[in-house]
Amino acid sequence: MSGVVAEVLGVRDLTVSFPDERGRVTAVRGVSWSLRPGEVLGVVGESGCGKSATALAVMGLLPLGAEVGGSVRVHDRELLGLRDDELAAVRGRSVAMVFQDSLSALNPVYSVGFQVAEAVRAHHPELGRDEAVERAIELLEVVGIPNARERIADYPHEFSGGMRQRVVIAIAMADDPDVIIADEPTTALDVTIQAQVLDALRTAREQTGAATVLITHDLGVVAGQADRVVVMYAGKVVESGTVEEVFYSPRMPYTLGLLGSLPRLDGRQQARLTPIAGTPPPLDRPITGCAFAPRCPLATDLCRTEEPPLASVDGEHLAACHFSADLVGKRPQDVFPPRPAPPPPDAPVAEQATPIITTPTVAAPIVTAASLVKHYRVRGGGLFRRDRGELHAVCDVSFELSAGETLGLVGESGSGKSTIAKLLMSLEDPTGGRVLLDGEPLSRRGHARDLQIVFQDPTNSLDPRMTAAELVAEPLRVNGTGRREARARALELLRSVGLSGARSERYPHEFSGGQRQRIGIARALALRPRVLVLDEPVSALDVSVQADVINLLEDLRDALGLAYLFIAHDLSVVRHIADRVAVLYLGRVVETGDRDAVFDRPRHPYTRALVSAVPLPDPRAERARERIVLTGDVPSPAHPPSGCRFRTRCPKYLAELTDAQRARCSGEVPALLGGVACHWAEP
Amino acid sequence: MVEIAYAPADGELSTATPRWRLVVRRFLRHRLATVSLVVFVLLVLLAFVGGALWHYSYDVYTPDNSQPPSARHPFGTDATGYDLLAQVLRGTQRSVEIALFVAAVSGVFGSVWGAVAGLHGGKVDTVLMRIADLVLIFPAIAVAAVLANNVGASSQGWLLIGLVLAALTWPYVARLVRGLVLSLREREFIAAARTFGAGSWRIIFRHVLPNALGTIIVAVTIIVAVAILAETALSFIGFGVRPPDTSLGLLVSQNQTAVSTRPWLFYFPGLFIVLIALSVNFTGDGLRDAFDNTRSRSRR
Repeated sequence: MSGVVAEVLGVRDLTVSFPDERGRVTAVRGVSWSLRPGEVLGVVGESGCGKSATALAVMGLLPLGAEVGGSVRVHDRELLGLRDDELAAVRGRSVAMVFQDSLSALNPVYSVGFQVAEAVRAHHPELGRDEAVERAIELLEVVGIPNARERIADYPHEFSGGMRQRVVIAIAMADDPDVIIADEPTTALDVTIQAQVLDALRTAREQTGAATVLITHDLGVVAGQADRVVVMYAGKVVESGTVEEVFYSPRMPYTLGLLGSLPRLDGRQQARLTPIAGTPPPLDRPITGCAFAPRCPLATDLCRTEEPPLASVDGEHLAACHFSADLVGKRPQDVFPPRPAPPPPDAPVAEQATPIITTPTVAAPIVTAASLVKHYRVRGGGLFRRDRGELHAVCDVSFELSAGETLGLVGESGSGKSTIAKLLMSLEDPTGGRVLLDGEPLSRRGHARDLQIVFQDPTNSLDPRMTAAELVAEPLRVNGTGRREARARALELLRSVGLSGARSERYPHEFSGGQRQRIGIARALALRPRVLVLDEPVSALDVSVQADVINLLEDLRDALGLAYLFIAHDLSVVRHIADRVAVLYLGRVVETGDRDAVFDRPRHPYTRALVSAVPLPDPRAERARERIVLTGDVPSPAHPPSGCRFRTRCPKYLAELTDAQRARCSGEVPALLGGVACHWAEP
Repeated sequence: MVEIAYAPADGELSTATPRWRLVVRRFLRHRLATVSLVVFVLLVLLAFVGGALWHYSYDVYTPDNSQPPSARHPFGTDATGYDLLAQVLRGTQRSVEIALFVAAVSGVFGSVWGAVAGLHGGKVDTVLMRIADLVLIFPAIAVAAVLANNVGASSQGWLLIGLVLAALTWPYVARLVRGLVLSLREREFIAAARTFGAGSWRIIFRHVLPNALGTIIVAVTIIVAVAILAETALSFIGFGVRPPDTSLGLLVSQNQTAVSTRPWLFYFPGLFIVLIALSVNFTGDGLRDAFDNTRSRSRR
């Protein structure tokens, strides 16, 4: 079979199972694919689909107790069943890996230079120590570590996440491998850093000629990087083919659904996302028929009884679906009918909604943030806890929010967006400025009802010892509603977010991630607030589930006239849901305005870079795009640059401006004029 | 009708087992702990039910003096003619009562103390924990002896001994709970409760303590064992339970001179002490593992 096309890495009928509380979980149920020389194979799927278990099995890194079956061949050499030392030899010489967690991939007690040089010498024993170090510096420069020569004596913890990931890539290159396996290499990173790491990965590929397996949940990354794609679902490959085939003419409903549930930054999309109902099946028991059938709108009795084989639909385009022929030319919304909006919980009581005296002609803002400033004291350790200066988390941030409106707050880590949420919720006191509600200063108790928050991680923000009904009833109980009444209202709220009565007595861990977030939303609505602060409400969720929650949020906003402050790092999601956008960098608003204006015609150099760094799930558009890759990392908020905080990474400042113009950038803080805070903004 | 509109498909229902059932299952997997729990329950039943049914009472003389174990007196009798089985059962009752009382009082008090300190942090934390430290550095047995001695031999003496022991053991629970609360309070559900206006006491009783329950239960079982041994020690040196009432420690103490001549008088109460302490300790071990989700995977 492998005689037809040469392959450097072949996986055949791979099965992996792990022991678990309730028995054995079969994470991989017969996966086959092959990696050809020099190509990039993207493996995509949602959490729990078995993509990482496949990678671990290939590398022989499965935890104790895991059982593996099938075959993994590198250059026609079988890897399964090899002893550890034999495997180590293969790993070093032929296969290199890049994992998501770069901190644990590097040894904390050796310097970065030493670790790269060590990898160099392992492969070229003839090189002397100094030559190996020279080669290490070269490699670090290739992957884009600035001042590599000075930094080789630094230790891993002195590097940022993106830099560490590039060091790991340099080590992978030193091995001169035939295959690089990258398992979610950019998942924990900000988009501008992700662009840097993807660049480094591409350089590594070009220099070593290695074929790459790129495992990720991000369809945009795959669209831009991969030649061929394998889509996994419930431990099986359900579709594979070239990126164009899979993205433009998917022949398996799951792939189609994934694409339809993804919000897109370029705005070329229907108004409403098409989520896939339900969640993947549990893998601790045998599955009969097609694993996707319970969630598939096209499923028939045939699907539920007989498992479709992974068969060719068009040359090397394979799909595992009985009805793949019916999917030709279908759009996501044709297959996944939009679900009707839920019945809204009763709207805010009239007396609360009507303004006090004035009858405004223009909608008066409900919430006003006026010049918010938040500094944190940084203290050293030790006995005296000396003051080490201040962390400038939020600096002079102002905005207004009116009923029915969604303001998107975007920014990378360290931009201060979560701090703003805390200031709004009075979980922190501002160092300067204030938050006004209906034009009056916010007081904690009195206004608790009007402003409510939905947190990022529902696993963390729901008390694990309370049932869904208790959780939703709690805000009411705290604010003096009787037990019976609070419970009745809680059940009504749960229904309005799509959770029926039977589930109300269950505990958070018995729900899926998306359902948990619904409970969080129901709880936030319990006090009939007028404003919801949504702090990364969907970033912990898989795409298909994320789409469902976004739709729910949109429905609730429209039905209840809620105002949302939507905080997110994912620009695509913000573009989908927000009316207006404010872009934050190091605690300052650098650009704000109407959503389409900001995303289609960004004027600030940072916004331009940010927008260009977001991968689109559209291979042709993605490859045709001009990308602005920022250099360097976000500076520490403890020592922000003077003047314009972005200037240390600003492509304009670094390449286009004259010295006189630069002096203005470093000396004068640019004011937010006409929605953009840059002395040399694009018109 | 309303429910159908947005009700997720059946597949979406998670199949996770309820938490308490997982805990029970993990506990039962721990053989030694399961056996220990059964032994402990049997001992308690024997002491309270058996003691009431046994045809001799602990404080009534029998005509037999210094009899070795026989069918009439399974544990034998002492020099004054008391039936030792009756006395051991009575002693077990007293010891278990005191231990459970101590565990309950110091468990509740220590938990609240630790939760308040951990949740508030800052000065409150410093003051509360320094007080706890102060109590910890008292030489427990000496203090207990002095206090118990001044109380005298009233009929409620065991209660006072329990109070004294509880006053000396609560800081262990407080420190444990405080540490746990320090990590719990960083969890977002505490912040969530604050955003809708929940006060500190509500947060402590509704959110913090229920989540710390596993740890508290484990700490309390350890205190049960500690209290039994402490009461034994106190009675042994003469400051605990007074005759005519009796406890396991007192029995061992009274009969220590008889080890070589009438060994049954010493070994039977001793055996009960060891059985109770061991079974409670192993049960605590099992509970700790059962509540700790992170341990369960490796143990099969």
